[in-house]
Amino acid sequence: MMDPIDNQYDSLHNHIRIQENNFNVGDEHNALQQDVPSIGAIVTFTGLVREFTKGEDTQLFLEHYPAMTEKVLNNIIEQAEQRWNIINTRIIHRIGHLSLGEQIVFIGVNSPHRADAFAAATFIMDFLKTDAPFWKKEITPTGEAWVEAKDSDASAKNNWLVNTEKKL
Amino acid sequence: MENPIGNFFDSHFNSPYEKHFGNPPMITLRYFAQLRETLNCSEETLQWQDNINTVAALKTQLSQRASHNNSYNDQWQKAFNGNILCAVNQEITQDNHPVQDNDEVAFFPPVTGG
Repeated sequence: MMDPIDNQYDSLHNHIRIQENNFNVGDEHNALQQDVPSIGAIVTFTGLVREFTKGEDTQLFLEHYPAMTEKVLNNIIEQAEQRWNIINTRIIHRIGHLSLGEQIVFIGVNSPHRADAFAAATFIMDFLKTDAPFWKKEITPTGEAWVEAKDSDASAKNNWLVNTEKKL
Repeated sequence: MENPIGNFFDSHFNSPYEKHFGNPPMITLRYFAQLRETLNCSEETLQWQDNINTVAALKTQLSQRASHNNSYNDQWQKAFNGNILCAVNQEITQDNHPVQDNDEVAFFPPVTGG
């Protein structure tokens, strides 16, 4: 049997993991709490598989483009670091087959102050949605279909860009 | 005086054309998600030629392809007329971006992660 595909990219302050296996939010939170006495806030986000059509059992299949995923996620973290005072970022994204209610994605950020941690976590998630090369296929008892990209995701990202222009 | 044979080998094997010695320029193509399924192909290598020196030119060439089993159908044309994105060496690019020897060119639909 093949080992699960597991890509991990670490830098001094940041940790990115793409894996088939589940993750433990408590472990990730602990990792964000260690070694940094100056942090005053940790913000985490966890995305779950939800039902796409009410009452229908939904499973997902997720694939990605490994080399590009690493570049894009590192670039998103860099942009967040330029905007806010954040210290550590952890991103986990799962791939492969996932069932209803399972965890798909985790974003964790720490900072001296909560406002920076909240904003950076939202920013990273909004950009991940539109820029990171992941694709979801929805599998239900009635068939399967690749999920279409949503306009609302593109506008969430664009709001950040517009808000930057206003500041400049 | 320097050994002329040594000079020949140094200049030849250190030249940027070394990799072409006996090997034609090649590009790698990768397809993801529904594009991978529609085309029944996740990765292939293609000999680079002048007529595919931009993303737009490459898309035109690919869209005119027959299917792999040689019975003509328009799956390549349909795939490349749809809303697809292109990344050259893992960076999203526009149609006028150059395509060169050794490039990795990926085609895929808008992303839906998270």
